[in-house]
Parts: sequence; C-alpha cells; structure tokens
Amino acid sequence: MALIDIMTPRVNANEDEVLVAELHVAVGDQVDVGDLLISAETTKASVDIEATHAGTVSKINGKKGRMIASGSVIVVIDTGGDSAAAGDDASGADGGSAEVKVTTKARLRAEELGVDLDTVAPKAGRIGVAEVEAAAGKGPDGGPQVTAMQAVLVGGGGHGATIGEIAVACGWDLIGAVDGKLPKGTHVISGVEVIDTDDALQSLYDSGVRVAFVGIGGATSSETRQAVFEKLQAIGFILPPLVHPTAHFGADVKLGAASYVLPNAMVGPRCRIGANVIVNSSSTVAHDCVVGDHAHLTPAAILAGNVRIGASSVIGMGASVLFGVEVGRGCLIHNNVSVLMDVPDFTELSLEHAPKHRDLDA
Amino acid sequence: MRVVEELRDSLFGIVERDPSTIVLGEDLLDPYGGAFKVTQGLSDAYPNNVITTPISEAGLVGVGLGMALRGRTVLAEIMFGDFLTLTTDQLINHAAKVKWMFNDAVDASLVVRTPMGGGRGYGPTHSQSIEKHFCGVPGLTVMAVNQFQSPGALLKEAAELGSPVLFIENKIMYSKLVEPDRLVTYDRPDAVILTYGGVTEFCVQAAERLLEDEELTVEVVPVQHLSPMPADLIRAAAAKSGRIFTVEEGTESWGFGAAVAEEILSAGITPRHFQPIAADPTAIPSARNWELEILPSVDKIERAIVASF
Amino acid sequence: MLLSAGFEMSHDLQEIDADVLGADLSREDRFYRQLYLIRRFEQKLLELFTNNMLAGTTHTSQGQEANAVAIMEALKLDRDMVWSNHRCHGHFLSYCGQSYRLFSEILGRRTGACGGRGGSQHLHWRNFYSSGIQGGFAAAAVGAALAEKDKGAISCIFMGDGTMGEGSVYEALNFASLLSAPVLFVVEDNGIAQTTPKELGVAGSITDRARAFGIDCHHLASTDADEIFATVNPIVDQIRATGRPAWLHLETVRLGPHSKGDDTRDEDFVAELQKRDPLTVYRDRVGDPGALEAWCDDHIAHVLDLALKDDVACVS
Repeated sequence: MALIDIMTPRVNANEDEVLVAELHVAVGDQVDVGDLLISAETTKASVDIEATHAGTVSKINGKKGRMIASGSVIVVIDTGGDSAAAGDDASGADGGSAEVKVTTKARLRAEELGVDLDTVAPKAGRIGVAEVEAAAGKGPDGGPQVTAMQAVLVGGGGHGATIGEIAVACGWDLIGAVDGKLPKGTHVISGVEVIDTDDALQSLYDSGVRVAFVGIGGATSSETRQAVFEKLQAIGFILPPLVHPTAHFGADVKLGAASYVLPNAMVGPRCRIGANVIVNSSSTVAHDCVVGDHAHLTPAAILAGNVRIGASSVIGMGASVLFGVEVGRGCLIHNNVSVLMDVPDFTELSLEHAPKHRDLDA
Repeated sequence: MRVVEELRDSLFGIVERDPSTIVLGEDLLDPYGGAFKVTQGLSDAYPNNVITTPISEAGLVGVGLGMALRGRTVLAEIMFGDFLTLTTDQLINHAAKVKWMFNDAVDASLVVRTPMGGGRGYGPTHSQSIEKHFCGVPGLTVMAVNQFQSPGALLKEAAELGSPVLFIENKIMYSKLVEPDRLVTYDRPDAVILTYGGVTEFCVQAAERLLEDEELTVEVVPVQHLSPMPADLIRAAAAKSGRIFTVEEGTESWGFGAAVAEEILSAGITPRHFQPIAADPTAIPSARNWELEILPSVDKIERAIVASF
Repeated sequence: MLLSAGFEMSHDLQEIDADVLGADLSREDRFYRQLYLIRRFEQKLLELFTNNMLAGTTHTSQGQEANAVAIMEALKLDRDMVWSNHRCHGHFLSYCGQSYRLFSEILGRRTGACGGRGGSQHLHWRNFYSSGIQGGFAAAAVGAALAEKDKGAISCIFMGDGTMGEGSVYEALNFASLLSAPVLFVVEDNGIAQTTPKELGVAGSITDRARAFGIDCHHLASTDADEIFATVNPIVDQIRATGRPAWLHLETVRLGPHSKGDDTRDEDFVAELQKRDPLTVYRDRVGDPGALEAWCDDHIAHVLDLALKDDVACVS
C-alpha cells in the first residue's frame, strides 16, 4: 500500500493560500492518472489539481469554499500496492498496536466519573466523552444519561407485564425489567425484556435511571411486593402511581406511591389509597374508602362506600365488603366472600372454613 | 468576499459618500494601486481624492493631519506596519493630542491604515506587529481587523469616528475569505481565547481542531477595538470560562495579554488558568521555518490549551 | 483699512480683538502698539514666574517681536493659517490680540484660550495652532494649506534655527513643493538654540535650505518691523498668486534667555544685541509712543487682574 500526497500549487507569489472551489472526488473514490480532483482558485487564476497516480482517494484535507495553504497536502491517494493483503482494516492488520486516541474532554470526564480509561471501549480508534459516559452510565454534567421518562420495571412475570403495559400506556419509557428468577432476555411486553436481576437496581440507579415500577403481584400475600417497594425506596427511586386510561377515577382521590389502578377498575370520590396498593382490573372501590399500604384488591373485588382495608390485606376476586365495614391489617379475604361485619387484623376469611388467624410473621 | 475586496469596497464607499475625502500613501496610483492592493482602482475612479506620496511616513501622516484639522476625512496608508515608528511623533504628539490640548475646539478625522504581521519571510523590519506601542495613547483609537468580523464595516466605522484612528490590517489576511460563520459561541466553553488581528485565524483553526480532536469547546473572541479596550466585551468573555488564553502576534511583554489580564483582574474575575500566547521575544528572522517557529501558530495554541487541562 | 483685507472680511471679529491689535491706528502706531504689547506681556510673565505664579515653562520672544507683528500684518487673518512653536506668545498676540485668553491660559485658568490644557506652548485660536515639538506641525501646515488652497488661504509656519536639525522640516518641504502647497516657511534665526549656538547646530546655509526642493528662498537680517513687512508682504502675495511655497530666513536676536535663567551667553554680547531691540528701532517712528505704552500697560494690568481672578483649571 502506498500513499501519494497531492499538494496545492503556489499560483502567485503573493498568495499563500488557494480557495477550494470544487471537490470532484470523495474519499473512497477510485481515480486514474489525470482525473480531476480539485478545482482551486486564487484572486488571479484558477487551477485544476489532477491525480498523479491511480488509486483510491483516502483523504481530502480541504472543504469546498475554504482556503488551504499553498504547498500543503490536499488529497491523499492510496495506490493500493498488493491490496489483497493489505486491503483490510489497516489498524487491525497492525496487530493492535494502533494507539487509541483519548480526547482531552474524555480524559477529564473519566477523572470526574472515576472511570479507568483502560476499561473504556474505543469507538473508531478513539475514546470520546460518549464512550467514557457509556462506560460509567453517566450523562453530561453528572446528570442522568437517560431521559426523565425512562424507567425500570421490577418483575417480569404476568403481573409485571400488566403493570408494564399500563406504564407504557401512561407514557413511560421502560428500559427493561429486572427479575431474580427469569433469565436475561425473557420477553415481558413488546420492547421490554428482562435485562438483569434485582441486584442490578443500584447500578441502574447510579447510571441515572430514577423511576421504577413494582411489577410484583401476590394473590394471597403482599409481603414480597412490600419488600421490593422498600428496597426501591431505600435506593432512592421515584415510584410514581399509575392509573390506566380505562379506569374510572373519582374526584379528590389520593393514590400513594407505586399504587396502580388497573384497567376498568373504579375508584370513587374522596378515597384514600395508600402506597404500593393494587386496585386490580374491574375491582370497585366506592366512595370514601380508605385502603392501607401494600393492600391488594384483586380483580373484581368490590368495596362499598366508607370501607376501610388495613395495610397488606388481600381482598379476593369477586369478594365484597359491605358499606362501612372495616377489614384489619394483614387479612386475606378469599374469593367470593361477602364481608358483612368488621374483620380483626390478620384474619383469613373463606367460604369453606371458619375465620382463622394468620400468622404472617412466622 | 476576500478581506482585501471588503476593505477596497469600503474605501470606495467612504470616498463616494464624502467627496472631500483624501486617501494618501506611497505607491497608491493605479495601475499598481498600493503594495497590497487595498486602494486598487481608487485613483482611476477618483483622481482628485488620491495622493501618491514620497517615501515619507512622518510627512504623509503630518500632511494628512493638517488636512484633517481643516475638516477633511483623511485615510493614510503606511505600506508596512513596521514603518509606523516613523510616524510616532505625528500620531502621538500631534494627531492624538490636538483635540484635547486645543480644548476640544478641533478634531482630526484621520485614519492611518497599515498591515502588520509576519509569515511571509520579509524579515526583521517588514514582519512585526508593533501596534502595542500605540495602544494606551489617549486620543488615539487603535482598531484591528480580522476576517471573521466585517473588515469593511470596521473601516467605515473608523472613517466616521471623526478622531484619529490607527487601523491595523494584516499582510496574509488580505487574500483570506471573510467568514463570519466560523466564530462559534458557547454558554460555558471549556476555554476562551481573546485575540485580535491576523492570528485570529489561528485561534479559530485551533478551536475547530480542539472540538474535533479533543471535544473541547473553545470560544474565540476577537477584539476589534484594541485601544481604548472594550472592557465589557473582555470581561463578559472572560467570565464564561475558567480558562482564558490571549493570543497576539507581537511579543508578549507589555502587550495585549497584559492589557486583557488587567481588565479581567480589575473586575474581580480570577480565572483558574490565564495564559498569554505571543511571539518569542526576538526580532523576526527572514528564514521561513525559523520565523514560523517564533510566531504563534495553530499548533502552539492547540498545545497550550490541551496542556492546561 | 490697513491691517489687511482679510481682517475686514472676518466673520467673527470678536475672535480677533481689533481694538487690542490697533486696527484703527496708523500702521506705525499699530506696529508699535503690538511690539510693546508683546514685550510688556512677556515681561509680566517673567515677573509671574519669579513670583511662583506660573507653572511649567515659558519661552519669551524678546527681540523677535517685529517678526510676529510684520508677518501677521501681511497675512489675511480671516483665512490664513498660522503654525507656531514653543516661542509663540508674540505670534499669538499679533494674530488675535487675545491677551486675556493668553494670560489665563498660561496661568492655568479655565478661561484660557485652551482651557488651561495647552499652556504656554500649545495654543489654538481660530486658525492659529502651536506645538511644543520642533517642526512637529511642519507637515500639518502643508496639509492644511492644500486643504484650504481653493479658498485662497495660505499656511505660515514659524520655526527657529534650532528646528533645522529636524527631519520633519525637510519632509514637509518635499511635500510642499511636490504638491504645490501655498506655505510660507519662516525661520526665525536668533543664532542660538536653547544654549547651543548656531555654529554647533546648523551646517551649511539656512537661507538656501529649501532651494534644493525647488522652493523660492529669501533672506533678511533685521529687527525692523517695517523692513520685515516690506520683505514679507510681496512673498505672501506671491505664494497666494502662484499657490507655491516660499522660504524666508529671518535673522533676528534673542534678548532674553531660552526660557528662564538659562542664558549662557556673554553679557557683553547680549548687551550688544540690545542695540537691535525692535522696540528701540521703532519707537522713534511714532508720534506719541508714551500714549501707546500707557494704553498697553493699562490693558495688561487689567486683563492680568481678570485672569488671576478666574477659576483654576482642573478635572473637577
């Protein structure tokens, strides 16, 4: 491979530069001897710069409309030599000896972020700020590289998919799901897959992700979901509530962090819904109800007006709670049970068995 | 349009608008039209407005001053900036002083144009940038063109000022294109270069390279009014970044960098890095490579800025 | 009107004090009035200097008054331009008669001709300019003459024998001849430059210096105002008629020191020069010199008193 420099001529004694009037070739073009490469001009004359060798244009220094010094290299022609051998990526053929250029700004950014430049993958032989920040997961000025609408979903199972869909419907941009049990790459919903285990939450946060959704259900118990909620809170994630566009949502309702109102559910006016509550599909919460943190109103559960549900209680499918009744903390009301009177804390109610105490701490 | 063409158009405009204008200097007559061709065509178009003079720099500036004192707008050309030393008495003791010492009863609309700068191998007496010796003289305005702001507009401003102006051009700039688009501003640049005149181009090239090669944002702020110095412009530019560089083609001591530092420090702005870049403190050799070594260059500016980080 | 046609045509007579200059007097009385006025004025300055009432320096023209008086008589004061030097009081007074403005200027008063900025050496009044730099205004005098040539105006520049060492003079001569500038170059040759006698400071001929530039050269050794006027008047006419410059070498005397207390010349030599005092030469030609002197004494006492009462010039 031989590189031939084509120089700009000196056209008159008093002009140290020529104007690049026209570029007739581009990098990569094949040229023959005598082919017109560049039209250059001075105040007094114009001059055509032609190829002195056949080959490939490997570099052009001038830009159209710019001045370039007389006697400087304007085009480099690669004559190829035995191109079959050397035609491959030249830097690769050098056996990796090519030096990686680190930009000054990238060096400063790496110091700022505590990134070891040896661990940063160069791009096209160069490490720039983008490469350093990608390695650190940081954006410019220490702010999130991610956008404000990007969020992570915790839990890639069925409930996770449900919450994921609502989050997307509400305009969030899910970067993926974390799940301790599902393998990486598991499809969750369109465009969202499992990207890591729960253990990655801290590093995701560090990389700038600030929003998380709790995609953990719990047909009989809310303990797992509560643990996830608390972990996310401890890391510092923002846990916005979600209301599906098809849900009915009354006036003056309060909805805590990470509480989700699913499709076709109805929440009446003035209800107070705590944090990390699931108001599942088609469930009904009439006016003035108070639902404690981590409670789960499963699909088609019905709360009449002025009902109180204690923290972490689960109300089964088709179950109903009569007007004004208070269900204590940590209760499990099985499917289709009609609750007609107050239920003490930690009580399990079913159609088949007498009420019994739940020992949730066991 | 090239710098020389802008200046020439501006000169034609000045004479056209005020037919009493006098343009005088050595070798101005067509077809030669001046050593650097700024006045080319002028004596053919306006034979009564152009005076070609003997080699007599003090004389021609003094004659110009006399005409200006009697109400003419006078544009004098000194062929090489180096020859300005011959005009110092006329400029400093007379032109700059007449208005003040005669109690503001007179003024002199006298513009003395001259090209400074090296890079052409002209040697010790034809390559200098000695405008600093004329800065800080009360009553004498010193302006310097660069090709990123309109040289023609600046010349018009000088001619319309009504008071003596030393108007600094640059030999190698004449054939350059006027390219205002190449001045880039940033909210918080990594570095700011304050500069003027011919080396502005080096600064712009260095800034372009530093952005491409080092991802550094460098804002080049050319100063067109050297004296009196525009404090607001200097301070606003300096307040943008903690790294301030000054680039001048003349030698460093008692120069542009010192004047900029004074403006900045006296305003309470204390950059973490301040560095003047200037010519080495020697006369200018004729040998081409040697000359290029001692003058500021794109490489020197680029290296200094990278080294500051 | 004897003073000159230009004087009558002046648009603003207030700027030129015709009364002080003696416009209504006979030429002889007017000449003596001005000679004595300049002498008295400068003697007052020396007194003020001795009494520590003057700042800086002052260069008197004692012995050279006739040059100022005669040459101003020959100029058209409404249009001609006068370019003087460090020894400029006499030129200034004969040009405009503004003794009050000159006193207040030299005394550093706000009311001075230049607001107290220029002082003794840097004066400007109408078309009168002076500079403390030897030969500094020579080229400007040429430029101004060119600028005003179509108005029939000429420039008159005063230099001394000491100025002959300055290159600026010769650049100005070159320009004046090349460009045909109507300029009267006057060399007031008093034979000594500060303390350096002419023999040590000037090579060759002062008279012939401009000849090589193609400029008409004239010479006169005299302190007689009439003689000087008779010589200068046709030269001025010729300059105006031809638009070409002329050179006048006037040999005169310096009766006083360069400025103050710096006369190194032999006392006998200076005493000999006193015989050529232009006032002595002229006094016999007027009918009542005592009356003219009394007028000047009163006038000077009056304007000095006025000037001393004026506010001093300073920034605030």
